[in-house]
Amino acid sequence: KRQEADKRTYEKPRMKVMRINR
Amino acid sequence: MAEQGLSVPDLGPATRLRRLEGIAWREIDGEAVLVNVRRDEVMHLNPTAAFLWSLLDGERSLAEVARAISEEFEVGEATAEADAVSFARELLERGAVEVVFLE
Repeated sequence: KRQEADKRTYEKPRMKVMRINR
Repeated sequence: MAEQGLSVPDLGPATRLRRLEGIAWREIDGEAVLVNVRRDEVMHLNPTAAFLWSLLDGERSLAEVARAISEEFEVGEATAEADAVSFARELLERGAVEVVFLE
């Protein structure tokens, strides 16, 4: 558990999806 | 396994999910890149999503994952849980995880 001051900035979890060029 | 376009079960805080073995992934500078060769897709996860993804071992419930997120990031547990359930559903729809336990 991190101390309050050391916590990382929160962003809503997101993903970006890309197609693979085989 | 869930496929895009098909319905996925309702997930809740007690749901346990596991990363699929077929997904190659790597953490890079706090973010994560997942490769789903079966679907010819690469998924780029932001830091929160990457942290969440790393905890999906089939042992932890989404509530436990949310608690870990709230201990790591500046966010309340309730918000973390709602976002975790929502994002877990996305992962399931993308065929990146499987359900181990559904409440």
